[in-house]
Amino acid sequence: MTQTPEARFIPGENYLNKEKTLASWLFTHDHKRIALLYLISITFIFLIGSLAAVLMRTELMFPHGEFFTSTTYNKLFTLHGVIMVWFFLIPAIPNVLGNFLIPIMIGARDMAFPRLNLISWYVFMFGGLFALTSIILGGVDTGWTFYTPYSSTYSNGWVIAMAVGIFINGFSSIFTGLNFIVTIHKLRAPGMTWFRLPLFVWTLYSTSLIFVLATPVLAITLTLVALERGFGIGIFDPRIGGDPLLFQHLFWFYSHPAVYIMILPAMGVVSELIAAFSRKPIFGYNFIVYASLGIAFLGFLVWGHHMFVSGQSIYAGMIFSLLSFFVAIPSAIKVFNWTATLYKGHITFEAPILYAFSFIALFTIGGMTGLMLASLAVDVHVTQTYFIVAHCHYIMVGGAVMAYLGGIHYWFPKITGRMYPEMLARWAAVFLFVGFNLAFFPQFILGYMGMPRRYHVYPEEFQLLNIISTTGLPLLGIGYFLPLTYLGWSAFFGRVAGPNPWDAPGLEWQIPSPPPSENFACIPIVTRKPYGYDPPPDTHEPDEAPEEIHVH
Amino acid sequence: MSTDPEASTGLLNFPFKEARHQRESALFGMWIFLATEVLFFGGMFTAYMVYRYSHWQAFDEAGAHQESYLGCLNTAVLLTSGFTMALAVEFARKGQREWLLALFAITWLLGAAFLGIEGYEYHTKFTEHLVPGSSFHFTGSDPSSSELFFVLYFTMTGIHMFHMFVGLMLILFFGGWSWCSPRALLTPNPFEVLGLYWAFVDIVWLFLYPLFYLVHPQ
Amino acid sequence: MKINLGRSVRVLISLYLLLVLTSGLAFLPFGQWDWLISLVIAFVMAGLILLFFMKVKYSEPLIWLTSAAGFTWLGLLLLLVALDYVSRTWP
Repeated sequence: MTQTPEARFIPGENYLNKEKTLASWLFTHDHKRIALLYLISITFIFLIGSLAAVLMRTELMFPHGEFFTSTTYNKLFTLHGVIMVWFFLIPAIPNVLGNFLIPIMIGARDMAFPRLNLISWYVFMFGGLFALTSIILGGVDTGWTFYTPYSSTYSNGWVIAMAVGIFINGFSSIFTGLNFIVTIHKLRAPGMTWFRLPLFVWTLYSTSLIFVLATPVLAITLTLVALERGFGIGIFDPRIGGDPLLFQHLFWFYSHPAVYIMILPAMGVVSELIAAFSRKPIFGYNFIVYASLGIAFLGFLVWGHHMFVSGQSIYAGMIFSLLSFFVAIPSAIKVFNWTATLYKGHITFEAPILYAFSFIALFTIGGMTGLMLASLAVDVHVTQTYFIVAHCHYIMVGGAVMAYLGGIHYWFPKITGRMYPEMLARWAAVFLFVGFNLAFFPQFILGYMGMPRRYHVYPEEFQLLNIISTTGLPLLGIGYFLPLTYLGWSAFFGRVAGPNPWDAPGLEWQIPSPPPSENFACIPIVTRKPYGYDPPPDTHEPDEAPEEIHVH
Repeated sequence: MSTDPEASTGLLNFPFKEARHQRESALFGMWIFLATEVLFFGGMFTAYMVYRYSHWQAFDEAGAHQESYLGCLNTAVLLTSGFTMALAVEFARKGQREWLLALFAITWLLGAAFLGIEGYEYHTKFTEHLVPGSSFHFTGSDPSSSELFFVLYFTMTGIHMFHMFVGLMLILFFGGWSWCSPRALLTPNPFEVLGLYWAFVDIVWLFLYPLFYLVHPQ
Repeated sequence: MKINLGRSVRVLISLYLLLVLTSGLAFLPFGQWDWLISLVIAFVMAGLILLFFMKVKYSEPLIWLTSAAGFTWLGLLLLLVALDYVSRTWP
């Protein structure tokens, strides 16, 4: 369908065209522009992390260490882990979608602390600079987990530079979490009670609690490693009575909740997508709220399941195992609620819902394998094997990245005012789903059969599965490359979307696309529950008479 | 000019439209930051707990070498500075610049005195070969575990000192700002936030004092 | 809003007294429990500063919660790590 140039023009002033100088972007206080600054940064960062993965998987096609020395390979998986965890997954949904949407979803003009928001982006970039410096100087070979005493004493890599980079990046997380919490508490529009908030806001609130309570412990842990490395005397040094396992306790106290930082926002996105594309209110809204808070809390109590074989006491192992079983419950509640939402909904199959379906399927597999790992006996067998690698990638890529892409597609018309090409997007989602499973499902089998993680030399009987795994990568590559191009193109030349292309309720869909700088001409007064779809004809009438949201 | 910040519009930052709302949000934000600081120091307290438990006698012996009277004096100094800072904040909220500056000055001097006494203690440790590293020399039942006591001592008090130093810089900055600009007190929020920070650093020391200065063989 | 100097002075005196108490008690033979006593006193002193100098007593409940949250989470960390170390020597 051709359109005249005039039809592709979006009239009026919005946050994109208000001022177009570079300075107006780099010194902006507008949460929406800051979200885009993050989007651009983390897209580049994702490419770097993916490059490391490509190099690793190419090496792993051959069992005898074809292209890289062991040290170089160690540096590659460390780089991949550090970049993807701290500089991509943790900031992705919160700092891109969260920054953009939270003020709009609660009916505010901006975050509580707009300047702190901008500072958090600069801090993020500054931390990235240190990490990049560490990589350019030669990299780190300790693994993203920095276990002592290797990281604190014996490694020859640029550990301190990398630790400083992650430390600084942690402040970006803390500032973001702080800003979100204060904003959600203090800047909700009149009538926007806690239980009228969209689930995306609830999950980002839960995530922010983890940001502020967990990240400082990472900060001190990395500080202690750097001090030990820099001054030669150590808190984790057994020669003076120190315990390397203390590092693991402190590290995982942060890093386990960190994985919930990565998945909770993704769950929030999925809740929004499921409701929007079933055209039904989300089933069990209250349960999902409590489940989100429950995941945030329980996630702090399970970190020892990363240390079952490291030397902690067996009794601690048993307690952590039990608690890890508990933490699966709220996640399962969510999956059931999503499925119940889909039931008898008017489902259509645009790209965002395809990503949501991917999420549900792959997150369920990842979560179930997590339960397997929570049992002590199974974990003893498969720990430090590819089973773990597969488990965490099912959650982080199959879960978080799918949800991130689904959210990007769903809110793309709001962010840019334009639509993306639907057919291409659906194909990309399919490529990603197939490529992902091809790449990572064999790794469950490899791990169970005993192939250790972080090894680039392995027994020949594992080669076939490794090759199958690597063949998933080109498909994944196509799946990532397509959105990179068509979203980039559509941002400038796509069909004009209008305020509400999905016909969804929710405050963000009541304002123009792209939104004006201050979001609302007048602060809305909220009078009804979220996900206010008309009920299907064969159900009874809702208790609350649906009144209009007054946005004027 | 009204000096009651609750009533005045003051200088409002976007997106706030009311001074009370902005103040509540600023304080809430600072309390969240202080929670992060509790956990930051908390990692080191965890290390202390673990190693004290594992090396009880070695820590007792190491603790006997501490100058507890200096630690006690320093604690009194810091408590007093917490008092003067709390008053300073009250005067800031009332817009009374002269009292604020006077109390800021006293707080600053007390804080500097604290750092001075601490510096003297560090110097004494250095001359007694109690600084961890190659020059460390200790006679006791388990010298290397006693060294761990001093590793924790220098790390925890060192990071605390860094926080004190930042606090002193901030007092200079905000004191200087209100000296130069009579309108600074139209927005008393930064002063309250600084007051919270200072009191928090005080609280951290209240836990460092018994853990490092009240440890000795029975 | 007048400045309650008297209250602040009373808090400071209490803090000084508690400081003397904890320093003095350290010299008495409580054996393994001296750390607990000094920590309890430290908590009381910290509580006075929190409630009065940091004005938590006169703040909204949200501030109460936030001031408690950091310490509670630290407590979780300490508790579960202690569980590991204490139980390492059990059969």
